Amino acid sequence: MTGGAKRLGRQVALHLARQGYQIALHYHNSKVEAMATAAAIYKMGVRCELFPCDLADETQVLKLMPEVFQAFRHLNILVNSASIFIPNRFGAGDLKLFKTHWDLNFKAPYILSCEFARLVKKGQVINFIDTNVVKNKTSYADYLMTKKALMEFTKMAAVQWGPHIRVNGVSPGMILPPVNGQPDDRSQRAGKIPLRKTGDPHHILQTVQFLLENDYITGQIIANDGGENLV
Amino acid sequence: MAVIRINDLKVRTIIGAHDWERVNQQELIINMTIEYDASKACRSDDLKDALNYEAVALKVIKITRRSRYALLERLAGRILGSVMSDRRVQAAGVRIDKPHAISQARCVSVEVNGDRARV
Repeated sequence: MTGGAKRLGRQVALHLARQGYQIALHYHNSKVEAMATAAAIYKMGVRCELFPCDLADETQVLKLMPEVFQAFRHLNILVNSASIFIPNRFGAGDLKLFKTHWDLNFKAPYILSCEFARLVKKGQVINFIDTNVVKNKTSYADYLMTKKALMEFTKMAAVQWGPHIRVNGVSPGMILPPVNGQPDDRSQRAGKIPLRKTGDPHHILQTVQFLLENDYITGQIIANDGGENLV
Repeated sequence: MAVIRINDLKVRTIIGAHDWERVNQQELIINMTIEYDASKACRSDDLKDALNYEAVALKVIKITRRSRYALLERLAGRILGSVMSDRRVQAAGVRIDKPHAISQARCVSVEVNGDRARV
């Protein structure tokens, strides 16, 4: 579980732990939050081990899945939840942000998924995408490009790794308040989407659960967004 | 005298006194210094005359992975004893960092040192 220390990643980790899944919890900068999440999982009597790794560092990412596999021989789910989203528009002036977005939001889940498929005989990958991937907004240009790529990768990987590995995606909409000091305009935006309301983490957990249980689904991206992607 | 330094050797193992630490492996970061008389190796350029740091590291990894100690001190002492068992080693230091000992700290470290001249 990448990015399992906080926000939706934490909710998914706790949800899986509640069902008895042992958790390999990745974090990078969020050590305090990761240890708090792990402590909550220990209280359930469930195994949870922490794997610090800078997902922007290819060398570290390449080592991560083999390390996890060594500790968890019955590994069967990979959740790629970690990502960054920083507003920017296209422009070649500063490629640092471009590189960080691609390294973290696409290259890392790509490498981890490939390593997962190589090491695990039967399992499932769930990629966290974004409901905006079907649109072409440019306020988070680099971020959105990486998520669009992750969506296509999810479909192609499903083709290549079937029947043993299923690969699916979840596209959250307005579930949690934004980070990076961005204004929380969800209630205003929610009025413009078909279901006229914001979502809750439990909606995402229901989708994750559905993907875990339905073994006739692969290569699908499920938008959990109150219909936001349609308008 | 030569000093070999093995830096940031990462090994996962069971370590610690808390209940959760008895069932969950955690990462330890091991740093070592090993002093030995390398004058012969300096002349011969032959691995046989040198202290094989790769073999030392592999042994430390093996000891750590197999260990189930409650205390960092015990593990550090065990590693130090192993390193010092090579009679060529004059002095050695072993520092073990435990990143998940305290969430607010980068890590907690325990260091042990051995010096044959002082024994």
